[in-house]
Amino acid sequence: MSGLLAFIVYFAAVLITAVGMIGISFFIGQRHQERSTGEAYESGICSVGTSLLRFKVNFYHVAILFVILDLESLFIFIWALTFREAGWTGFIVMLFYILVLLLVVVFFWREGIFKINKRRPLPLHG
Amino acid sequence: MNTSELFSLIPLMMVGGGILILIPVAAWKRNFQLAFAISTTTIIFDLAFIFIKGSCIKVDRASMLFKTDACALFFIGFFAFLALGVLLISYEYLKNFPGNKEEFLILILLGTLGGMVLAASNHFASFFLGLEILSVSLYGLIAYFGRQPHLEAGVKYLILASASSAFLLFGVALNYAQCGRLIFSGYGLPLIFVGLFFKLALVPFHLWTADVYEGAPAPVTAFIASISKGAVGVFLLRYIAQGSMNSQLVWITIAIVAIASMFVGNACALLQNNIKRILAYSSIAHIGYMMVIIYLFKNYGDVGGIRLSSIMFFYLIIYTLTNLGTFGIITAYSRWNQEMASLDDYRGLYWKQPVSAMFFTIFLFSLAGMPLTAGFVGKFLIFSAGIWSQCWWLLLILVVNSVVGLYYYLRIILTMSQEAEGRLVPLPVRLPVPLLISLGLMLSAILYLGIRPDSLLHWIQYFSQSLYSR
Repeated sequence: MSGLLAFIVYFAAVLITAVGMIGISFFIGQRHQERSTGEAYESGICSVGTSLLRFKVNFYHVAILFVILDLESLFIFIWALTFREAGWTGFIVMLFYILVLLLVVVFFWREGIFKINKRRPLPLHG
Repeated sequence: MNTSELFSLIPLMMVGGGILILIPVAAWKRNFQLAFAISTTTIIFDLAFIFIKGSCIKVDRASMLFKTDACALFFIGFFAFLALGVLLISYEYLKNFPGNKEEFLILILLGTLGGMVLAASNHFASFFLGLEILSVSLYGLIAYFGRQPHLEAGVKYLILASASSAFLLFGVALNYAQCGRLIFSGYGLPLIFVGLFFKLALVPFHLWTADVYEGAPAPVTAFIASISKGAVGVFLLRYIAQGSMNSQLVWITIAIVAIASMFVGNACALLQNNIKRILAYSSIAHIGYMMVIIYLFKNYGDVGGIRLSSIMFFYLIIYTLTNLGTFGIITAYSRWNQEMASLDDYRGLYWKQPVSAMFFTIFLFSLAGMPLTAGFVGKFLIFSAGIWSQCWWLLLILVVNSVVGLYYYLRIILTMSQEAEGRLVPLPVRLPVPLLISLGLMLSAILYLGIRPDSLLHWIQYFSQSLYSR
């Protein structure tokens, strides 16, 4: 129970700190409403246009594929560290692993995800 | 890893191999019939392998990660059977979809593989891997057709499920900090329970259920209700059988969760007008009934544990089979661009489509626990376990909830028997053959198990023992 008590005290302290910081600045902080208070701060330069830009989704595909394959290659790196201990079993398993990755890349290539410049309509239905 | 260990993993590798064949097929030659044939053959081969060669698998654990005891093998086969059911009901649903159809089958197989890995897992690494394979393929499946309700349900499930996975991973990390290994133990248990309870949709973590069931395409809802819940349920029992739960607080939590699930599930189901939402809330209540059995584990050691786990397994099997059948009926009248889920759509189904209305009635009876269906046997076993443990107060709550549950199942049946006034929904004249095969399989299983439950119970009692052998 003493562990739980410590946790309760800690949680209360967190709560008091958070509420205190927001509450004190709310009650005794200054408030002002000038001409450019609501404007976005862009390092002194007037902001131009809207932030609701449209990105090409093709870029997103390549980016996400890059992240995924980057993560997967991390596992190959770990295998390389234990190359001698893993032996032939590890080698065969890794070959299979790389083969699966290759299959996925081939799938995406056939799907035309790497054609960044080609304009393709989004497959949206309904 | 030697040959016999590799041999024991063939049921899992077969499904993985099927996926690896399907990917190049989807990339080079898009043909829905071909892809469908490959995926169903994979599943049938997997089933046949377990059925014929299952007794040749002698090793109890394939590696540090997987257990391939009788329990794991049975549930790998059972999930293959459920996957076959899901594939068969989704054929007609998908057929007229103008986009890519093959990836849907790949995702179904992937999710099934995740469920199988969960059923066989003996280590937190394989458990988490299985759970993530299952949920990541579900994100894709729920939002597959890209319509607004699908996307909404998909995003809801994505955010909530990843939050629950984070809790679960934290629990696993606490376990590792305490043991230095990733074997199952009682450390970090509350956080692991948060993750499992979320997937099972128990009450404090149930808010996603109704929205996701309603928004997801009907075959995917069938998949969530059968394989996803079944796999996590099997894992929960395995975890409880191995991890030591000696804290009183855990048992009180389980009791509260069970009672709250039963009451909230049944009470909310009374107010719904959408069949998918009714079934979602009824699933919360059903998992609540199963948690009653889990609570009874409190007073018993290994011997009572075997008996209780066989009851829980039986209820889980019945529940998943029945749910797959129920959502199969909904799938029969839905297409990718139009779901027939409102209660009014089923008005007068008895007069227009007597056969499928009969199917639906029997599935609903089984959910309500009427005699001659398997649902009755499941409920009866829970009651008998409660009486056996003399846990009267929990039993009383269970009885009250079963009676309340009867109301909304009968309401659906009543709506089907009412005459349709004015509003006539165009129904397909004949149900497609694959769907009829799937529904027939589920129906015969439910009726057979309702009349001869001992045939399955005998098996279950046999493999429940392997759960406790160390």
